[in-house]
Amino acid sequence: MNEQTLHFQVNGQEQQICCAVGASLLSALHQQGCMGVHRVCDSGDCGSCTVWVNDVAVHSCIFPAFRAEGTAVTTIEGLAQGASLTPMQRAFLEKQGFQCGYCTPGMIMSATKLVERPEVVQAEDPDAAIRNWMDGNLCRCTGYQAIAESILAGGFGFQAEVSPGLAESGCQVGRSIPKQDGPAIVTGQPIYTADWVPAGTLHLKVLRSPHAHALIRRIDTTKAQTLPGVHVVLTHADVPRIPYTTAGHGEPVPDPHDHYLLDNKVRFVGDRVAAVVADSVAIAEQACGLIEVDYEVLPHVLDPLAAMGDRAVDLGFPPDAASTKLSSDSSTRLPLLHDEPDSFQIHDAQHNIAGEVRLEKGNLERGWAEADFTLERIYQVPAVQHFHLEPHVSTSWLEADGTLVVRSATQVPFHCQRVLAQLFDLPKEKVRVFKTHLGGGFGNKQEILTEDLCALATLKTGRPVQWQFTRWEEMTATNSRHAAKIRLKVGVKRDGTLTAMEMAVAANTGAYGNHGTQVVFLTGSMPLGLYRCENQRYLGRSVYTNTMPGGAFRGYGATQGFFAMECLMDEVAIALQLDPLELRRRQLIQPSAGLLLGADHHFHLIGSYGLQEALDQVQQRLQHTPAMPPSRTGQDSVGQTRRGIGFAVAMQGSGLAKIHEARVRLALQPNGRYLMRTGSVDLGTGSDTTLRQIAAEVLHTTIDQIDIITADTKETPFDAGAYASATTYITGQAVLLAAQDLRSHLLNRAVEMVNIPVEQMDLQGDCIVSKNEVSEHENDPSLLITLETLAHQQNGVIEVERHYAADASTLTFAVQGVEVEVDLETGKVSVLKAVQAVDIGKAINPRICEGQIIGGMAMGLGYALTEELRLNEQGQTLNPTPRTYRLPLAKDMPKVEVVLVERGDPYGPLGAKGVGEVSVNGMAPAIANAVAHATGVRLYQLPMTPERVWAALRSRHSSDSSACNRGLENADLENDA
Amino acid sequence: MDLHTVETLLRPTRLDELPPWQPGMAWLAGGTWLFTEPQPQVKTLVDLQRLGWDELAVTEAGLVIGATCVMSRLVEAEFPEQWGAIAALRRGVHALASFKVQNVATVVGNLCLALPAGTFAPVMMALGARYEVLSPGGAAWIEAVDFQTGARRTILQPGDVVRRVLIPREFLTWQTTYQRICVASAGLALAIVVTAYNPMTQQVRVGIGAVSPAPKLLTFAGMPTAEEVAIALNTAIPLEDCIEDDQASATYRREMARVLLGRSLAPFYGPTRS
Repeated sequence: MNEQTLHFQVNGQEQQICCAVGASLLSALHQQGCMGVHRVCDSGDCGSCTVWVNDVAVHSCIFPAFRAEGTAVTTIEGLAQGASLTPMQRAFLEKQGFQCGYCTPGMIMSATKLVERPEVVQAEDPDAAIRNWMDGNLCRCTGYQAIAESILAGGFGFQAEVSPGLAESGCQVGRSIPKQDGPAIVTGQPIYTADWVPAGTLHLKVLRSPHAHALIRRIDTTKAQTLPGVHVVLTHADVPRIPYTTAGHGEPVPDPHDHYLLDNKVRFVGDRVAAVVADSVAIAEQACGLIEVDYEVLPHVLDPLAAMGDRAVDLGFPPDAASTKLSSDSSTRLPLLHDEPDSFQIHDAQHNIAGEVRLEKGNLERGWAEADFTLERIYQVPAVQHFHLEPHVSTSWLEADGTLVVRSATQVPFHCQRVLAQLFDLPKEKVRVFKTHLGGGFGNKQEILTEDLCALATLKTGRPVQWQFTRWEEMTATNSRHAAKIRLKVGVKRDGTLTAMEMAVAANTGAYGNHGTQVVFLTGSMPLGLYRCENQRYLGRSVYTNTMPGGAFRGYGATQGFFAMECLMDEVAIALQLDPLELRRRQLIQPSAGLLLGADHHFHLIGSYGLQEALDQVQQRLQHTPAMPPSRTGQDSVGQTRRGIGFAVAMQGSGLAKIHEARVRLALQPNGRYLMRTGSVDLGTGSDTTLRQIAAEVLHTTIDQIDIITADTKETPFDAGAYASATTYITGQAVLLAAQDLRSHLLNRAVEMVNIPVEQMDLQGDCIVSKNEVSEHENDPSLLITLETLAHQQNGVIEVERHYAADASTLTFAVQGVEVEVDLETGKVSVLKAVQAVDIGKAINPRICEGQIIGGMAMGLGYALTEELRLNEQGQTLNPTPRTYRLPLAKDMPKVEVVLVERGDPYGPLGAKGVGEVSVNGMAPAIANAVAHATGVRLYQLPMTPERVWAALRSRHSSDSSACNRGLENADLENDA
Repeated sequence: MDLHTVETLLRPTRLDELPPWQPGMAWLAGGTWLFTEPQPQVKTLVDLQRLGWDELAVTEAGLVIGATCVMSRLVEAEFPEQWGAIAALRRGVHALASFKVQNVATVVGNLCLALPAGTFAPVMMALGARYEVLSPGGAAWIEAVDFQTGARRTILQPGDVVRRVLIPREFLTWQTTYQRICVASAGLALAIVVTAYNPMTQQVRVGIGAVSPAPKLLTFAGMPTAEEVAIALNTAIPLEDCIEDDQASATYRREMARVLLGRSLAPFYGPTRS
């Protein structure tokens, strides 16, 4: 590969840059240390790498580096002059136009140029113009609302309320304190995992399987190994064969142990075959191409119903529900993904069933007998991808004392540490895993996907090694939300009483069983638990197929189940001629009830209950009145459109009961400042800020007085990690307990020094003060002692540590309402309004909560309308790029309203409940119900693409689009009659 | 993304400086497609930028768009108000990608890429454009309608390059509409319909993209009836020629062509029909 020497200015400095002839400007800028230019899609679609070349905004990932010769390039690092931020940077800080911040530099660089454009400057509706013209910038966290507000403020001086100052004293909880990493984010500081590597770091790439299912008969790495720059090539012959799961769970690990560092069998197109460690990514890639593999191709299976063979029967799907058929002679011999003897905790490997969940209460037969009518439907939901902007990346190295260090973009550093120690037979204390700043995760970083081979490469070479996924790898070889087929049947009395509910689920867990069983558990337990019904039965299976694995994804199975449940409840309401909200008011879970489906004790409970108020709030804000007809719109000259309104309800737990553990250490440091050590992981959501608010509230200080060290197995106590909406509810409780402990420690120690009863003292900022103002301090009569003095006199650090694991997980509820417009000729659905009310307990930081909720709504909108990993007959993803896998853009999101219904939860810290996931669940069913309201046509499959809606509209006279459901509809009529 | 296999960069200032064309050579205009995915077969990039082919010129013949003229110049340049053709060109620009891609991508590059869903090919067909193709044997003008022969296929032979596009002056005053539909609000189109209408003669030319592997042209001597439109569409693009892939069925694509055709013609039917 030939190098070239280029000369151009980077942020005003003349630079000489030596890079490959085919290098992108993005890579050349990374060489210059401009790590704020973020590589996300590498295909010019997401805008995260936007820079200016001679003041013209470009996507640097698709801009040839040599074209920059002689130009002046400006990056995010060059925007601010010293400490003086540009108006756009200030606006993003002021309006908090970010969460994880990975898209933010590109947003700011784009927006700064956008607001100079005549189309935007002269627009009557600048918000709409901004959303329309920001279609080259993707954000996965915010739902764009805070971004649009930031750009309005930065470009047009639109100012809303002044955000509260950081050091403002008084109540710390319940205030929208800015995320503390904001200044680093808007200036493009190198805070993310890949922004730093040790000197001499090698790079890892894997050769990935071209086959859906194959045995590796022979693998020859000779040519690859002799390529200059290659350090080591690893195959299944070079690794310890230990079954493990990539799922990041605490012990006892519930998942199938069916994954190996490298295996002699590949199970999906994209599976790991061999790893190359080389001086550069380019060399490693080239070496991968030189590895010769002799595969014995095996039959493969893509459909979960087909993969179970005759064991699919008891799920009760109609015979044509499987989308692919096995050839007739293979019906007796299923392709088995995990026939290896050493994998374990697989439910039924002979039928590709990774996990099975059966839940039951009451007597289903009695329930059917009591029903006046039944409705039964089949729903189909697709695999979708997290598309966190920061890819998976790990860097590993050895310390002088032999400690293996892994700097990783992970949601679960402690689980990762445990798995690495087991895989490489190391004592846990000889493995350190930590994360820096995360650019989103949404569950996909609750997986050990890069750390294992990266660490192995370091152990083999003794060198620092980095492994970073490309976007193509993210889309084809990580995890998806589980695709699923769901059969749901409900028995109903004429008064609306639900007499029986039966649900059966076949979830596609792909080639490995990570998370599958737990995901399937929530698919049934959450939606069935939401409704009062005495007789319920659930059978869910996570099923192996030769596709990319399903894994953890925000909502974690509940999202799939709520689509089915909330769509069917809408049909029940229509059948009863009852308003859909009224049906829910009557039939939703009541505060006195628990969740006892399939359990003899409570894992979930209802600590606070604001669900009815949430229903009222959404109804009011959408100005919905019962029996409201759908509306036509005025623009009929360009095509017929109809508008409709739809609703959905969802719930989600807060953390995992019993097993989700958090420890927090809180200290007063010698300098009089506090230091919080928590193993919890801020995914970009803002939990590092929220947790400090809880401590500050108790310690009567401000969060800028609290230093924080997080998510480092060496430097922080154990925390299970960021998943299951747990951080505020579990870690927050540990923070609260630790802060209360520290407070009483400090006051008690002060007693010895100032001779005042402890009940007459209080903490106040960086001091201990007398409530009775007895001191003779000249400036502040109440001052007894400063914390700095106290710390000095106590000879150093005063530290407490508290641990918390919840006995039960409290439930958060959300009500989603939308108004949509459907183009009857094309099938195109647009969401015009979206309102979500969340029964949140107490919002520790309302703006951070709102950000989470709006982001979840955007993700739900993508799930509803456009997102879907489409596979070919080999199970290979056909749309592994953002150009073909369509995430919502700013212009796809309406301006949304969020209502926080606050009724303090007695089990949560200061009344708070989990909010990370629940918001994603309601959008798809609400939109489907709104489409049905608008058009009379109901969709049973996601996403509701224009073609699917169009096809459903065309076949409206044959009752609906799905043959399965049509058959069942007839059965209903008979049953009803 | 980085193109790891590229070994050589040629930046000619004159075409005759180039060595004979060989496999592994690739023309580089804006690079906004070439750098979006791995190009393992590409060893040599031939940069067009120094050839000085970036004109956007109004001549007696019409509007000339040079090979390296970037799309944003179509948006920024001022044209006579009565040139209805410009609206279709600008819609094509906006349909392609973000304003940052428009700053770098070229119109001619988009045409040569010849994606079925290419945003400019239907515009050029509707506007009767011609392309000047330089070959080792000399230069030739090709009608837009004859240029693209399939998905990612054109009449260009290895080493051939499109020097410029000419939209003849007579078409510049035609009124235009640009309609497209995608799975989402942006991205690859499932159907594109660009209609050009001559208000003096009532002639209609319609470029249809994304429905078949190569875009198609429909022409009408006067405003067509709905029936004439349906017949012309079915004749030009029989169902078996429509693209059937993971994004949309052939039936849907052609039906959307019909729907969008109706919508694109609607503004020209006059007050009695609107």
